[in-house]
Amino acid sequence: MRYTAVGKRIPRLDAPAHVTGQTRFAADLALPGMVWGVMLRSPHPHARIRSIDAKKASLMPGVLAVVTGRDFPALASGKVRYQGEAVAAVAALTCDQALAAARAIAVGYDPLPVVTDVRTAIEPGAALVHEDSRRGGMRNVCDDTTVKRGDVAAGFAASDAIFEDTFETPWVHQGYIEPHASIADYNPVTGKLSMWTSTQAQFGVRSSVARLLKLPMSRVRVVGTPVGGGFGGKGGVILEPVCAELSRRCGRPVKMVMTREEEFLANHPCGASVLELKTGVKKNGELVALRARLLFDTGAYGGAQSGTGATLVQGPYRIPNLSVQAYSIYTNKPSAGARRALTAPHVHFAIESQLDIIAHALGIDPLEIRLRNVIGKGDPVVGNGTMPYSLPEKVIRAAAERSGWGKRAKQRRRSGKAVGVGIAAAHWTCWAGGSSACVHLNEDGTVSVITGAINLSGTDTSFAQIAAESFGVPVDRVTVQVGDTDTAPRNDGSHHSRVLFGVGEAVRRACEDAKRQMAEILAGELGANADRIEVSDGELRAPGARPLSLADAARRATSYRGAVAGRAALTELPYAISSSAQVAEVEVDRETGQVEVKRLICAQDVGFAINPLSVEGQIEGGASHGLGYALCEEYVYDGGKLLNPNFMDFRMPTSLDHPKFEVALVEERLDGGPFGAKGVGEPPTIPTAPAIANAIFDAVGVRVRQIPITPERLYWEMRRGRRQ
Amino acid sequence: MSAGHTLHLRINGEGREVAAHPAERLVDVLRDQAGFTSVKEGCGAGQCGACTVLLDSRPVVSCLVFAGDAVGHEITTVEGLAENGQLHPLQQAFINHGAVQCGFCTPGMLLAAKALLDENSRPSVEDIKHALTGNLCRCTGYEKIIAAIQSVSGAKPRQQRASHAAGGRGAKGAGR
Repeated sequence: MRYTAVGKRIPRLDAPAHVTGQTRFAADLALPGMVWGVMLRSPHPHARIRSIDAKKASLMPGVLAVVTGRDFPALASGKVRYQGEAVAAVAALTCDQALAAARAIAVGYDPLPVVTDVRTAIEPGAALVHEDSRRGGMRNVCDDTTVKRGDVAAGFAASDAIFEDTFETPWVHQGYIEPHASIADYNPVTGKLSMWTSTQAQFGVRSSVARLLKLPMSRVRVVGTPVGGGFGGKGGVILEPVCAELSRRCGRPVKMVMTREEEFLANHPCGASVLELKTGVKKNGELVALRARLLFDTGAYGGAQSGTGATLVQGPYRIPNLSVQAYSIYTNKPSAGARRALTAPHVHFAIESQLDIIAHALGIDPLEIRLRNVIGKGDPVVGNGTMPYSLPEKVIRAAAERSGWGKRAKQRRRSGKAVGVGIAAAHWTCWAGGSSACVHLNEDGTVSVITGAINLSGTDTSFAQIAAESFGVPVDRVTVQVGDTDTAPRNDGSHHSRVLFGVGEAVRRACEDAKRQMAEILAGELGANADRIEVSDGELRAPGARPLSLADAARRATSYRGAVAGRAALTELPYAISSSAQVAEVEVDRETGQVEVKRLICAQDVGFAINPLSVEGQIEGGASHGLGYALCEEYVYDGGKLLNPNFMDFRMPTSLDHPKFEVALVEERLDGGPFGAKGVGEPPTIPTAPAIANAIFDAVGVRVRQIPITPERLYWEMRRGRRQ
Repeated sequence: MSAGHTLHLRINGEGREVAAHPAERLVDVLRDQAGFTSVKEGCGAGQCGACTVLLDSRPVVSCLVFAGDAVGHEITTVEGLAENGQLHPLQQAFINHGAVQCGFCTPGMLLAAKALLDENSRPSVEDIKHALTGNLCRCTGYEKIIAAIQSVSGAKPRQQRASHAAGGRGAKGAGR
């Protein structure tokens, strides 16, 4: 099949607005009469709120509204559970007035013992973040998940060797450059609330705001503004409910913008983990049994890590006997959210590092041990039936081949530096969720696509390509609009690598629906059965009739019926498994522990690249997150207080820290996304850290079980000379 | 703070009078007073580069510059890059190379790139990387940004450079 629109490298349709500064992010917007809102946040990670007195603040110049946890449920009441938790909020004419008033709110705190580490949080006698979080003998359990398969005891008995290792991953911020911002405009006359907000999930915001403000959803309109990076961090509700409540109280539009410090302290960063693995293998490297205890730090109000984490511990490998206990554990840290594949980068750092340990101990090549165990067609996947294909093996081979694995020159100790190569693979799924789209055919034959899916990764451009392909028109004849929650059909949020996969398929089906409608409308006039009428290549063709141009057909159809409005909604797409594998080449300075990644080969199963330019961008950007996770990013805490809530001390990779990326796409259209496409945003972040850690081991013979592998951490590990 | 104060600024080649105190941050004056919302605030501490503007030809983070200190200098924001309705070659290259994803770092990134090319029309990849160290991008991994800047610089792209060298055409125009 020759395509004219999909599969093409088309620049993002929003790029011209971005390069000219015309894109209006939430913080760029202003409404007539708009005032400022700010939060008052707790300086304590854990404390009882003894008293709160906002009287003085409410009388200060310019102050229009003050709200506290006593009278609004989205603010802390009773106690605070993390440093930065919001206890009160103020709206005032200017930002300075609002800040001054917030500082004047008197809050009496009685500090409580602070829970900072998941290992001690679960022990008897640990302070409780939430009173109702005792489970069995464990404390501070938010949720837990058990996965069992086969007979683990028998598996260990049948193993030739058993490996036990513990791995640790840090808290990290998603690191987007646009701080979250919201504007709320409650109209006291109509009772309608309108919001403009930087979110990945406008319908999720609508339902939360409606619930907290006790408004019907039809009275809440949420406009998702262009998102200046989300990566999971803008997937939940942030400032919106408080901003809305302030607007309702003062009857004016209220704008709130997070500072960078607030972003670090009080948004939804990605939580830490402690992952304990006990793995039994045969001499030939065959995995036989795995027992795992996974402790995910979910912070003060997070949750949901244990379910995903437990199902991922198999990775892309066959393991006949499994016993996994996973827990989301409360601590006095922010509410943990997702960062490019919820829990997957954590779990894969552990399993892919341990597989490397096993390979070296047994004298097997790290690539070989992966190919020996890789999951194939018909093998069971935890919680997900059986593998429909053997793509993970293809992906691993693609990464290895591109890197020249096995053929590389052993050029150690070049200029006093050690060089090494490491490989890691990953398993992830993309999920369609609730996806929908409307497609309108205009009278001149142009096409308007409307979805409610926030455009993060260039999905709007891909939707235009899908619609252009469906009708056989050039991409510039299609416009794509992200509608707000009043005008667009409902969609789940933009996360879980789902938008192109699910919403893209909805767009394709909505185009088919519009074409079908046109055929039905024109069947009588053309004297043909609607089923025999075809729309393709910009024409409508009926047997025995002259082809009509799409413009001609559209003009007639709209004049007979008023509108041609295709629509589709779906939830039923099966999960698509998206595999990735990466090979990292590193140079390690033995004196300082400084690691430089020289090359990063990223192979990924993308189904079909609707827009290869966007796909490459997602993979390079995803691997960039993995690079930071591997080498430099971490929240540094002292007793529950964050020491580095800024970009200087929370180090993200800069232009100087990036290697040359080499992207290898594996494209086989075996899943149900549009034209066989699947989501690509999350998988590239997953294998990067273990690939780099394994390359570091290859270079210097030191196994670091905790990321980030900062120069200091590696230096001390090398000094200790710990070898595996 | 701005009560009674007026500043005369030159922004993108035009004189502007704005009601602002000289001690206000340039980023606030540009965004709130003058309406140049392309100047983004990402951190307020000079660490992300999103608020980069050119002061004369020098890139500065406008969150760390007093508005008063910009008086008497030519301020360039990304709105000032296009001429006569034609995009600046860097803008077009960013579009074509996929160097733009979320777009939030893009204005600052473009201005940092312009400052580099104005000073050094044939930068090497290393030169480009060094020129961008003050501008964080979290979407792209920088690969396509670097490629975009290279494409409009006088230097030949990487691959061609290698083949030219092999063909004995010498190092002229080959960057460093």
